[in-house]
Amino acid sequence: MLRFVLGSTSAKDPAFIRQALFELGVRLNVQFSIHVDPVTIPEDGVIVLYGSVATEKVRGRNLLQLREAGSAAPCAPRRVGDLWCFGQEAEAGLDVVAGTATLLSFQHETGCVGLARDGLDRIPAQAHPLREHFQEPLVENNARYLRQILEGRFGDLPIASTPWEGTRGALVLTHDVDGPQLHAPFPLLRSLAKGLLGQRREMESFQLGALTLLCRRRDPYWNFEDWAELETLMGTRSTFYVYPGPGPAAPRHFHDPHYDSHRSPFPETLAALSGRGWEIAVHHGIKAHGAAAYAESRDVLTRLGGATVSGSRSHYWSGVWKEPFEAWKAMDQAGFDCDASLTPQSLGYRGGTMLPTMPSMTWRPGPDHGFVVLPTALMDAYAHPAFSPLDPERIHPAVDRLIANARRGGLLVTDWHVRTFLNAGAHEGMLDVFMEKIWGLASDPDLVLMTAREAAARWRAHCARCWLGGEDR
Amino acid sequence: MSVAMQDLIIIASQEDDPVRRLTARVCAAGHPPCLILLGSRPERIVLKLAAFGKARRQYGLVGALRWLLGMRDRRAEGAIREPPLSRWGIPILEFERVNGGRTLLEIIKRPGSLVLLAGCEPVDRAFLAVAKGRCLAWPQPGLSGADGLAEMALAALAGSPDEFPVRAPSPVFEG
Repeated sequence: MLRFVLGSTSAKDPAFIRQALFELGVRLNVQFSIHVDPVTIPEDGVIVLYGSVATEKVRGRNLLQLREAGSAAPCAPRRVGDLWCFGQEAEAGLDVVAGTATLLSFQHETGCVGLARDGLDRIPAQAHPLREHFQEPLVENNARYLRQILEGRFGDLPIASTPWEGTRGALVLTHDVDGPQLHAPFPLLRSLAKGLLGQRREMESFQLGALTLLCRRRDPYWNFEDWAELETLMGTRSTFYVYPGPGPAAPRHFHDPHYDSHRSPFPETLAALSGRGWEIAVHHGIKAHGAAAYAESRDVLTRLGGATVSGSRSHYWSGVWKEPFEAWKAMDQAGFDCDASLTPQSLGYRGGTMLPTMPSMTWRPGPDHGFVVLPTALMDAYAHPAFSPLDPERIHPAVDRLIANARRGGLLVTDWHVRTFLNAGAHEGMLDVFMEKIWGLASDPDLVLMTAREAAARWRAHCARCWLGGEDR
Repeated sequence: MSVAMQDLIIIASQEDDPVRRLTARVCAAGHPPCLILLGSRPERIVLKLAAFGKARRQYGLVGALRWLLGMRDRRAEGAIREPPLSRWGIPILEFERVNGGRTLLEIIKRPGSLVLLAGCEPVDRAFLAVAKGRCLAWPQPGLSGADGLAEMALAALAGSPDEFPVRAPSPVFEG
């Protein structure tokens, strides 16, 4: 059992130091509490001090003082043995608390301003400060580093809880529902236009769409049932992120999906999937910001899917780039309990964390009804040589690394679009990595498969088992 | 790769004489395929458009038209002699693209099957992954290719040789 004591720090925002201690605690899989005043600490457990604390009040107790590095050296990825951690060089070792706080608060991205961001305030993968370490679970490694120090001093730390099943990791399959129809004027004409401009694959998509329409065959992009069938064979269910359409508080952006989720066959398809255990979640439009817009989207989709919608992901990953905590707080207020919009727009982890995080600990008293953020580390296009920001020869090693990370008690959230099941035309080769590396994970003894909502619920329960509270927020 | 007794899946872009010959050969040997996947009409048209485009880039428009007419002549010469696939009572499904997810799903549903590529587009990495490399393709075009493929398939089913090569996929319209 750990008793973190947060003293006065030079950190700009001590709330993120507290958040860092919380996220490190749940990654240590131990029971812990966070205190400000050492006098209030219960008699049991190891005391871990961070910042400037009057230590005479806890004299004689098992005590670890973590030195704060201050602002002398910037937080950066640091190699410690075989681990890549993220922190500041301190007097005795690495200040991983400050490093974790920096990652969780996205301070590492604050240097990317102006032209370093695109029109949606996103940082292109090639310009991201963590681009060389996207596949490193830096926050989890920080926790391992902290565990090594603690166990070196006090012996083995008893495991109080694990998020998944024992030491196994988790795999979450998700699907963005962007343009799931080729038998519609917009996608057909778009493919034709691109094809006429010389894009061979788009021309093939147009031909397929037009010919299947004329021959009255199935829409090649409408692959909900096929994904469901494949996942049934894998013994799992997945999460479909559906764009609910524009509303008064969330007007349409040009790049939002062009389908109308109220028109057949969307409602019956979504209701059927939901009824069989697949999860329907909201794919927020690019202009959906704030609690009103989020609540509007949630209500629409709840009516369509016939089940309560509680998960979300932003289209184009927008909305959580500039002020992610504000966006997540607004989602929480709108009734959502998890979001999967966190990605570096490449293969890997944007905030250095592979496991979920619970940003609501900065606005909620505890983890019981906490808002969970699931990092989406693997998307179809990022694993395709034609679209990935990575060099082709780095794609497969990167995917292997993400899978290996997940197997060690981690998490891998994948995102394959509904339409890319076609694996031809504009989406040729999109199933390569899925079939080569993901499909076989269904029988991997080191992984359990679940939906995004299930993963969030398990993470919430894990946090609740670890969290002993802190009477002095 | 050791090959145990297993099912056969035949995949072809169209029902033609070599595919019928291949099916007849494996059926006669007591190994009827569990599934035959044939290219749908849109698939066949897309392939022809792609082949015509390729011929046009190589030989120009006139050359490509000549190639197209020659293809029609060749088909006219090769009158179908083998019995139709429907006579065997084997399930026949149509696919839009040979590497499409729906094709892959049919293979996944029949694990351990030996896939015979009897004249279709080149298969991709996803296809080979779900077939677990258990694919054989035409050793050469035409009816002799069908005979060769049938022999290879029967040898593989008989467990001899223990190791058999994963053949390079057939080019478009081969056979």
